[in-house]
Amino acid sequence: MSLIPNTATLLVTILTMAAIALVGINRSKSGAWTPTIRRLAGLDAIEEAVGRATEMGSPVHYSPGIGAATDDSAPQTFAGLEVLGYVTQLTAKYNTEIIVTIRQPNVFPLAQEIVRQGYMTAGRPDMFQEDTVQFLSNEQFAYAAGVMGIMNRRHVAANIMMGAFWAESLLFAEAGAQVGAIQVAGTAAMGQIPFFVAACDYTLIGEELYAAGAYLSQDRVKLGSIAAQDIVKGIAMVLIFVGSLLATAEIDFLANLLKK
Amino acid sequence: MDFVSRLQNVDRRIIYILLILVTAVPMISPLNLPLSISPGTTEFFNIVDALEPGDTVLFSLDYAPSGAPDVHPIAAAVMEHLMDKGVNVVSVSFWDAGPMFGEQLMRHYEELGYEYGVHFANLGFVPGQETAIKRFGENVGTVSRDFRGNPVSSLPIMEGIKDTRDFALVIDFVAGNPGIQEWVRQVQGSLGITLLAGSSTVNVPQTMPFVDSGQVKAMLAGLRGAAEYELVMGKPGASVAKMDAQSLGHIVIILFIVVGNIAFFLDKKR
Amino acid sequence: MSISNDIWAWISALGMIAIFSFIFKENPVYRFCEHVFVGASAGYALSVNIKSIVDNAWDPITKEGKLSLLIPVILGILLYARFFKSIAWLSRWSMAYMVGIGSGLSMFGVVNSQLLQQVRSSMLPLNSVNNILMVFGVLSVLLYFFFSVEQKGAVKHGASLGRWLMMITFGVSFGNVVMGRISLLLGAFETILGNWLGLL
Repeated sequence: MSLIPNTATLLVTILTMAAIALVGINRSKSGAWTPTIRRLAGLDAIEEAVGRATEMGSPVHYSPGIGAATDDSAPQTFAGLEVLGYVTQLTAKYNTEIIVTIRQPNVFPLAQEIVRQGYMTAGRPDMFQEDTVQFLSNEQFAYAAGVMGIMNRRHVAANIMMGAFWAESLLFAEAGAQVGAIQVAGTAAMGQIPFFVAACDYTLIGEELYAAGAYLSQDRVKLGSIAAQDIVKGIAMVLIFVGSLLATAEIDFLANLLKK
Repeated sequence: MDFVSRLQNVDRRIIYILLILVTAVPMISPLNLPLSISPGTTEFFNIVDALEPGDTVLFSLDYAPSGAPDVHPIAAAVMEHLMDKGVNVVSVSFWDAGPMFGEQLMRHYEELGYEYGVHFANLGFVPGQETAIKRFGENVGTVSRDFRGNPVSSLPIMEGIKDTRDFALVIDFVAGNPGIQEWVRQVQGSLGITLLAGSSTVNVPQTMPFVDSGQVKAMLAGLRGAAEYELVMGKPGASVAKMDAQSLGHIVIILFIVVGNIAFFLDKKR
Repeated sequence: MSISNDIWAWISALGMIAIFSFIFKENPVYRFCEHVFVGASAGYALSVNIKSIVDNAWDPITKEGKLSLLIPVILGILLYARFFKSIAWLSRWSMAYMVGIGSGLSMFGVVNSQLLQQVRSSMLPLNSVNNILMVFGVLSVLLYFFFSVEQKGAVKHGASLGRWLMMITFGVSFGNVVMGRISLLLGAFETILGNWLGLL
């Protein structure tokens, strides 16, 4: 058995990355290593937004995105749901109403449970109402129309959107801006980040969304995974830097190695 | 409401009407504003122009009606160049609406006397997204019947074509996923085909890193790319005619952005 | 000006005008056209998909005797088990197969094309402003996405450069979206002013 030509580096890379991830996650899980993640500025912005809603006596709107819990957007949806738990606890602390809108049927029971748990953790189970979490529609633009309607009718003072978004992102951000809400968004959908950056007060960019989820949940598997990814990024940075220095000296050994 | 606040809250209908007017009028009577050619377009043209009569090129038509006004003109311009040069075109699509555009491209040339199955063929839609691109890339025989129901093996144009390396070029006309990322990931990386992209303007930032790295040899970006290609080809057509409208539309939007920002900062200062 | 005699040119132009009427106010004509559009797209997708099942599975199995294709067909049918509570678990087999194949395929492709080859193409000789910008741009953006290190001192400066560069990229991206949207508008005008009214 021999390797397909020019795939040796690829094989070594995949194995190295898998090993780093496995070791990182396992050591974190067993308690042998406690990775720390820095606090993201976006999380402070969320607290500020909830505080503002409290001052104004208006509700907070939260959307965990329009991605499902089962497809390739699931990691974003789960990160969005982790942030939802945090936001719920904040609203319980400040005694402020939260409205959670849902597009995916399979996300609805998860969101409901997270909000219920959040209120219980904060010692305010009485705040949970049946319509705190609302399933609007699983048709993309029908859901979008529903969200915009709620923002307008309820004059939400804070609009927090964390998860996978597509073409409705700008519609939401514009509807939020029109009612004067403080807006904090986070998504790993590259195409939508510019809209959120332009129209929201603070945006968690790309991977920051996952890191926020791990930071808030303090789940050791996720913390280990994020720290392991940092190691891989570090290796990539060293390779690029050393490779560039070598290329400057007209040595293309490293660049050629990556082709093999 | 004072002037500054009014500037910040211009009725959106006014913006729409202005935009419709400044784009519709120059379409009816063009102003013939100058249009520069970007180096990427020239590179794309040179690669296509270097093909020999009798070569066969694969079009991957990965767009739908919602993105077609930005991508289809690129496909039409490149098709014109290829037909002129006597190069054959096979189209396939990983978006279900794609084959419709393949038919649109080919019918025009059928009316001009070119022959289906000899000069071009439409292999239709292949379901399965990224997996389908990989499978088709490695074995074109995955598709047994073309879009018109003919057995693919009966088409003279497909003689000797086993995998995508047998095409002189693969051009992905793309408005999203699956598209260029999947082509690069699954086929270009492993088979080393020569891949070009005709990308929707929205998709350009995602395609650009592959052009910089050489994985995609050249790219035409949106309607503007199509217009530049028509000019380089020496056959200015429908896309060139739309460029005045595009430029004026941009000017209106830039003006609104500038005015809106000035009003915002004046308001903040108070 | 010569108005088209083609019924399809009329239908597509009037449909576009009806959809554009939403700019001013949501109205019944807009809603009617929206529903027609959703229905027509669903119908077209259904017909194309049925055709692909016939071409890729039914005909090869029944006419060419390719019985191995029965395996993916059965896995496909199992996906619908989720509609029956008692056998819903069967759909997980197909899902597991699809997720496994999908992850395996993308792992190879992503690591090769979007990691190794991108790292390689970022190894540029530091002999021009463009290259220096490119290399340090990539490094600073990567630094911004380091989460296990506190952003202090040099790291903070590097990461903040990365953030600035990303903001510029987002601006470029936004500009491209605006340009793309105007192209779509012009495409609509071509149908209305050209194909229908014959003004172009």
